[in-house]
Amino acid sequence: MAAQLNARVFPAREVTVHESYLETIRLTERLHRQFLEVVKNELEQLGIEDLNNVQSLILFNIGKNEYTVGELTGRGYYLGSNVSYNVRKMVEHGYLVQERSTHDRRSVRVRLTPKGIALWENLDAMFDRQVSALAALESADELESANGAYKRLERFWMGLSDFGPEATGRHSG
Amino acid sequence: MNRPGRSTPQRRRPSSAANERPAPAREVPANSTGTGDAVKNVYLEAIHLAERLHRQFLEVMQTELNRQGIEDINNVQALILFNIRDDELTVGELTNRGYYLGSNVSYNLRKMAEHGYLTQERSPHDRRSVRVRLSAKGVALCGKIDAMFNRQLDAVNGMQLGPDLKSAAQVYRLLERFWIGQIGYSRTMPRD
Repeated sequence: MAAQLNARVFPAREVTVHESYLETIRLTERLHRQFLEVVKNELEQLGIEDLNNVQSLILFNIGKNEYTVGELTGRGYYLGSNVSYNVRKMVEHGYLVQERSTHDRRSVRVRLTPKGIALWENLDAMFDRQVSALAALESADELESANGAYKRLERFWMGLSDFGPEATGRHSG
Repeated sequence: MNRPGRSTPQRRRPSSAANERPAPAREVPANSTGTGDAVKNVYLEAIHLAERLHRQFLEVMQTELNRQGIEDINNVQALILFNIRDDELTVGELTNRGYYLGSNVSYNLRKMAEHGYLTQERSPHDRRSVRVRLSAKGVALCGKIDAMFNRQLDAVNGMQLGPDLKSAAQVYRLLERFWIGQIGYSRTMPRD
């Protein structure tokens, strides 16, 4: 019975754009997951056990800047993760310091400690190695074009969402 | 790090780093210039985009569920459901199909079974293996999701985005393989 239902609901079709579109949805998830694996692997190589991959990407995004937790949430990489919790853990392990803004006492800003900066440099070196290795595989132009297509798709999806980066004040490149 | 193509003097980060090895020759990407940094910016942007797109698509799915007035299933569960479609799968097979980042597939399957979207059955061949398939309610929701995709595809075709997505997928698949290879490489090679 289910098979008959399925045959009606999902008739065979040969739409390549359809396939590309569905693949894109799967691909973005796989890419994100795979990249987190790469970062996890890098942390293992560095012998770092007091920080996980998502936390280290939050750290990399902070860089030399100072952010409030709210600003950080809008900067991506943090799917399904609790930024406040991760920031607290990074403070506990000495990667970040939290300071109340002198202008707005309600606002807590975070920045990297020397330990955090040392890890930032390791991650930056990792990106440099990857970019060097990647340059041998393909041209940056192709990746740039691909990014352009994904940005158009992102804008399309933002228009289809009741809530999203615009609604939450997240700046979208 | 050998970085050909650099053309501008480098600023250094504040010299407060705990270790005394040379500071990186570059600041955060947004301030970078030069060919090597341009490539790096494109690379970092691709990483950002993958995460943003995945998150944005989940929001599209949640919006669709809200509009349908469906409250007993969430966006990630709906995608798992759509991935099952007319198949019968084990939990392990499902996990390998993706979409489930950071989510507990077993938990989501149980919730969907509780709400009548799918049935879980032990395999007659292997009692340890639980297979799932959609109920009539699950098939009905799947049909709605499929209709949503078809509406979106009309728009994608209208924007003539299809061919670009196809080309992009080729590039990003290379990136995916590159990352898979990075892990294998670093696990077999000593660090310099």
